[in-house]
Amino acid sequence: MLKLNTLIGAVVLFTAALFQPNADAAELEIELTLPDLDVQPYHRPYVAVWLETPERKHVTTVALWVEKAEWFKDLRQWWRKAGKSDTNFDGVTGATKRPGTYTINWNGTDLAGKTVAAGKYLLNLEVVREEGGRDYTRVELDLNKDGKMTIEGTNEFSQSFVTIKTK
Amino acid sequence: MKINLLKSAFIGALTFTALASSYANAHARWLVPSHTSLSGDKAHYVMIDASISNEIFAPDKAYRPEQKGAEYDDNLIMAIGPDGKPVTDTIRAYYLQRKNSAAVKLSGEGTYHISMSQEPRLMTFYKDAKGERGRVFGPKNSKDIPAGATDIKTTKSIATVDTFVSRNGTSKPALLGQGLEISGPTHPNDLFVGEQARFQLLKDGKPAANVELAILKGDTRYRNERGEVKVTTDKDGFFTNTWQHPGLYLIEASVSEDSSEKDIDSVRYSLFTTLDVAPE
Repeated sequence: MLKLNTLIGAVVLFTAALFQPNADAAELEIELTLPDLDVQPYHRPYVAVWLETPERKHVTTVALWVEKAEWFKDLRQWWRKAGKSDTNFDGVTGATKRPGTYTINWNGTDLAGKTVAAGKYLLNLEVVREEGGRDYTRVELDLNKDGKMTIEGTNEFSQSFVTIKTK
Repeated sequence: MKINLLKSAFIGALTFTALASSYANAHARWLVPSHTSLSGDKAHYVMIDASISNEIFAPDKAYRPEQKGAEYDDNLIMAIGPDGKPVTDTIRAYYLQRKNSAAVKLSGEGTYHISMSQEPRLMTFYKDAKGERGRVFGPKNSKDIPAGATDIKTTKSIATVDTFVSRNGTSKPALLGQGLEISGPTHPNDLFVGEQARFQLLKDGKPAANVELAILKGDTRYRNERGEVKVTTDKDGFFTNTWQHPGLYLIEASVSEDSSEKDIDSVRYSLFTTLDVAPE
């Protein structure tokens, strides 16, 4: 059972707030596994999943599992690219999660509901755990092509997958 | 956006800086911020430590109070907010023997440019009647210069000892406009290992060409090699650096040149900027 943290206003798990049908958009299904770590105490990690252009400009945040805005800065790579005070992340914000496998669906739109053009992007994943480590990776994606890619596991996240579904 | 520091409210005794000048001029000095990136809705405090020390960033000597027993100085450290204006809340720098420490309240969103107050200092060198060299803190007409002194030369020193802290996003930092300082295009709070940063060195707000800078990673106590990296600014004042390791870095530079100001023979500019580099 997931316990949702009520400190984040209206919590919407995983999916973006608006759906805009568009023949050019692609969707992503991310299967993210957080490892079961034998540590005491275990703090559920902060997680950020976001897309950037190949020049590393933030396009949209796909998932953000963090209890408080105070800790946004600890997701260093995400914060530097996405962190502007006037951005509303409510649509993708969720509570931190216990070890397990989670499916994150992205419907192809950005935080303002605009369709993201098909093309090459960088999918970024950052996981940081209090009294634990931090792992960050990014993979190149081509939203023009269907496919499934493997994200190699590290200490803070296990082997995970991203599936691209063009429409 | 420039700020004319001499017009801002640094009236009253500079209680801490005067006696430290001779020591300070011979040593590195710097600020260490507790954080360079903050997020969240409530106002945040960043702690700023200041020390005069060649061991980077281990404190050695604080700026001393002029008045015996003074515990703090409200004019030692200043900050320009993301709105381009000096922070109005008092920045109280406590004297702690080895360092001075202050808490700066950040309630705005964007980047703060935090520095030691930049009051230029005058030092006059001379040869007395016996031919021995001496110096005083003060201008040419200082009453401390003995009668019959010759070879009287006055140097004006302008030091920049600064760093940058961002809250809820970055913004273009305000310029000090006086002395040496680092400007973009790379943002000083967006530095990561393995990435190349590009900065422009300014002197009194204008590009400073052909100036050599030393880029020094902190924690010198824990290694045997000083490990300074030297770069020289190009004809437009730009330089680049790719960070090999995460950590706090000190960027040092100095420029000495003749002065066209009345009764001042030379100007010496120095720079001590602290930058924070994150792991990948």
